[in-house]
Amino acid sequence: MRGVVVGMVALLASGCAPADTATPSTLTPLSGPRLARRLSIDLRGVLPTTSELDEVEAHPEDINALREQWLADPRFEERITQMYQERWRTAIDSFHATVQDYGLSHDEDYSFNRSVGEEPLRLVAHVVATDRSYADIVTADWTMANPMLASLWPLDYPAGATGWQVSRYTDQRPAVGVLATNGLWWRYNSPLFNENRQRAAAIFDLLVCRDVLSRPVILSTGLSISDSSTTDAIQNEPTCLACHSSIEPVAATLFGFTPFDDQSNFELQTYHPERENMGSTILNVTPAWMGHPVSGLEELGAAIADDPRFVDCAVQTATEGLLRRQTDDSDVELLRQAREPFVNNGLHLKDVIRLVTQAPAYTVGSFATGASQATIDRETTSRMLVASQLRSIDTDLAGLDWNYQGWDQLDNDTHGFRVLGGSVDGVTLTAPQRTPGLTWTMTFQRAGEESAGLIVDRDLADGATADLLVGATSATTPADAAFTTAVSAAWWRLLAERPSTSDVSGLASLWQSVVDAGGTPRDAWTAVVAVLLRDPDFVSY
Amino acid sequence: MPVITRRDLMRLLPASMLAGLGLSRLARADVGANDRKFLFVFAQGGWDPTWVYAPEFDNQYVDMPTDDSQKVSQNGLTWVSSTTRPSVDAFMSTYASRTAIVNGLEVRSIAHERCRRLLFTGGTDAEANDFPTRLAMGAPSHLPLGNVVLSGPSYSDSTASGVVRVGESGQLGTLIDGSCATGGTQTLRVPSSTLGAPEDAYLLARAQKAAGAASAGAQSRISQAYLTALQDEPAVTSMASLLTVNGQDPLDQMLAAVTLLSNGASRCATVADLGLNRVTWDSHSQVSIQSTHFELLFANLVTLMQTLESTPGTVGATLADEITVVVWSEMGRYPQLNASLGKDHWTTTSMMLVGGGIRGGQVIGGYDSNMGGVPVIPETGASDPDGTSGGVVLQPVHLGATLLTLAGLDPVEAFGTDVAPILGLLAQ
Repeated sequence: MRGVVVGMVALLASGCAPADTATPSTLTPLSGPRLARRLSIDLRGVLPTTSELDEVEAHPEDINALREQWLADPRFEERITQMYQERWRTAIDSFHATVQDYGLSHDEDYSFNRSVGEEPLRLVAHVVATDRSYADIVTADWTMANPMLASLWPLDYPAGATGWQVSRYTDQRPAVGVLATNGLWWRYNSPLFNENRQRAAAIFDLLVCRDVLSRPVILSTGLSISDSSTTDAIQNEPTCLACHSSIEPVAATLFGFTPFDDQSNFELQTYHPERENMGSTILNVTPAWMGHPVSGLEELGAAIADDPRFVDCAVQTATEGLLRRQTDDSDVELLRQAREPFVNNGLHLKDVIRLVTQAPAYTVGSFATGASQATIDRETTSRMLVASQLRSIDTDLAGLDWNYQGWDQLDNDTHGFRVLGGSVDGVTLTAPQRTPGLTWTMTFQRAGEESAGLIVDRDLADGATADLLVGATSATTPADAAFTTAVSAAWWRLLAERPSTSDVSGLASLWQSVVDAGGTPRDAWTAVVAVLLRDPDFVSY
Repeated sequence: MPVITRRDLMRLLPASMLAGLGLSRLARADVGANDRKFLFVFAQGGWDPTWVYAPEFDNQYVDMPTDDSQKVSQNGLTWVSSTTRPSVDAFMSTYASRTAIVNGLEVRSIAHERCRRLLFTGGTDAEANDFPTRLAMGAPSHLPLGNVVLSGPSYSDSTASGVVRVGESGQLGTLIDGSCATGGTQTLRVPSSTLGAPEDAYLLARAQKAAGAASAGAQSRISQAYLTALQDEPAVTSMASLLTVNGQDPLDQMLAAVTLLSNGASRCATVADLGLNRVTWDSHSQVSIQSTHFELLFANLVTLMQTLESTPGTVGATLADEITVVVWSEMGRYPQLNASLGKDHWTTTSMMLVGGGIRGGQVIGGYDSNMGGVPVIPETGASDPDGTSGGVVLQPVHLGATLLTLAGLDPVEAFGTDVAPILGLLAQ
């Protein structure tokens, strides 16, 4: 589907209109506060503050100013990292090289694997968040590194720095942004027999949204086992040529990343400039990008950056990340509109995000009469939170740190609940879950219970500075006016809706039921917050 | 052509197993489509069919095993037998009447991740739903665990709410019983069942209200699925121990799956087999390790079938009449050895169906001289080498259509296209 949509954007630019476009008039937008909640989650990974909700409730048009604030928020970079993980899927739980290979302790397993897997994602996110040209993701002479990577790989990480920082490899690798990151090529590795073809396929998929691996391959019709020369077949058999005529010339540029010994850390982590020319010899092709010869990897990066399909793919990736669904031919007009400022203003991806987040397809909360069934089936009037979002929201709200032997439990699949909570694992779950299931519900339950306890401990200790249970103390009961004030504030902050009288009385009944069951007032408050953190209007957005 | 005798069988099989043989076959009661359940055993990494399913000794371009492997035929099955793989012989001999081998299955890719998606869904679309989940979601009544993935891949989009992933280390069980709260740097607070009950009741009421008020489309789908999941929670609490099975042992997982399937919690289950020491079946060097992989796999399958045949079914005489076991791998191996004595990827492979609803004692399909798939006439399962009688080269989607048909579901509705089920594989 992705390649099809990219092609259709070009078609539309030439005057062809798509069929079955959802007319904006059939899409009813969310209320201002709920829209602010959606936007804040998408751009910052956290809920809006109470004052932000108050502001947009009073002045709905202020959502535009908030959007600008949130695009400049430091947490925006983290959100782009997560959004690209859903598409690029590099943050997996294990790579060929392990912590044991590097002599690190088991407790550093998670940190090691995430550092490796997030390297290319962090590079993209930094380009986007700092308003650099998106072309930099394939032309930059830097990468992003943290102290873990800096301690392992040939990187000039800034002395004394902490966290993710712009860094440079010191092993003479070309200036090609993510195409020069170990993280990308450890994820999309290429066994020796594969000769970097798998990596070339990843370049097509991730950077120009062309999924060459989705094409059918039937070897027995293109390759004779009685006269087997794989290289000959790839270069002569029409069934093989369809894909390999594109793949081989790109694979030929990647041999600087080919290790001679895949058990050697040095071989795996180091770029080998002296091997760059091996590709054209082994594959018997001239390095090229889509038919245009290139001298090597550095020119490949520039050629990709100049390819209109690279721009289309960037627009499509961002749009799909925000709409939480794949785009189809009904979205071609939106993609075209989003492409325009992106191309005209220096390839700043924030321009795409600005435009898409104002589009009816993004702001939709329900359907007006007359919406077609196709529109109803397609448009995401509601989106389901997944583990990666829950993690950032609960960390912000409650300081949640669900950790097991160094593994963030909402961000791993080895011991934790990333996939069970609906996020992608990069291998088997390649798109975020869109409807709740049992494991998702239970993940949200446990995280909600823990976060509720943390919030209650904090807020009841000092009601004056409480974030959620404003004005409540451990002595407050449903009979007190302070109870209504506190739960109303929490409801507003967590759900971006004003509670009705019956909503408040429902929570009061719950509070009393817990106490009647033998719980303490603290238990009762915890139950009240826990159910809000699992409310249907909390877990969706 | 050697034939395994009953004496050979007696030598190969433990006495405890033989005691149950025959008895369970006395009555194979009719099992309706709605009663069908499925266990998918996935050999992850790509197996080499020439070690068991494809006795291509006559094809000079195929590197066959160099041990004492030989072609054996018995009770309608033909396979590659070797003294190094006694469990393969034991399985084929004992369960031939319940077993169908499919040869020449064309997966259409040689990239592991794509092959897995193709095998499980029939296509490469990221929004495709896999066969196990389709089968689970098509059950006549809602089952709390739907499709349980004890290990291995699962692909779902619109059916995601029907998938229950146990997790690599069985962590779902720890979510259910609350033991996920221990061992970390921070101990999670899990309310007692007494104090948690009011929370559950409150949430259920809120979810019911939300589901009732939801507008059409995504909002409705999310609300309804959330309500269903909340309603299912109490039913699975008692199954925590089954859902915390050893994440490393495929036999433990198969047996846990059988319990889940037999107690009505689930309609489908998936278990991955990664071979000896979990090194995966991917054998680019020293492909001879596949002999051990197959021996271990079939030893587990023998135990699995013993269990199925010795356990009364709900409507069938035994669980072996109700549960269909699908044993497959995402790709085959290139017919010839490489320089490392391994075999690289190949798009054509074999698979095996065992148990309920399967017309056993037959090999369907085959390999042509170039190790491509021989066309098969779906209605009968007969080979059509020239493709002149309506035969098709079998692909995973045909398998999916067959399983859906076995479960009483409409393949056309599922795939949106007319995919012929392989009726020749089905007992009725």
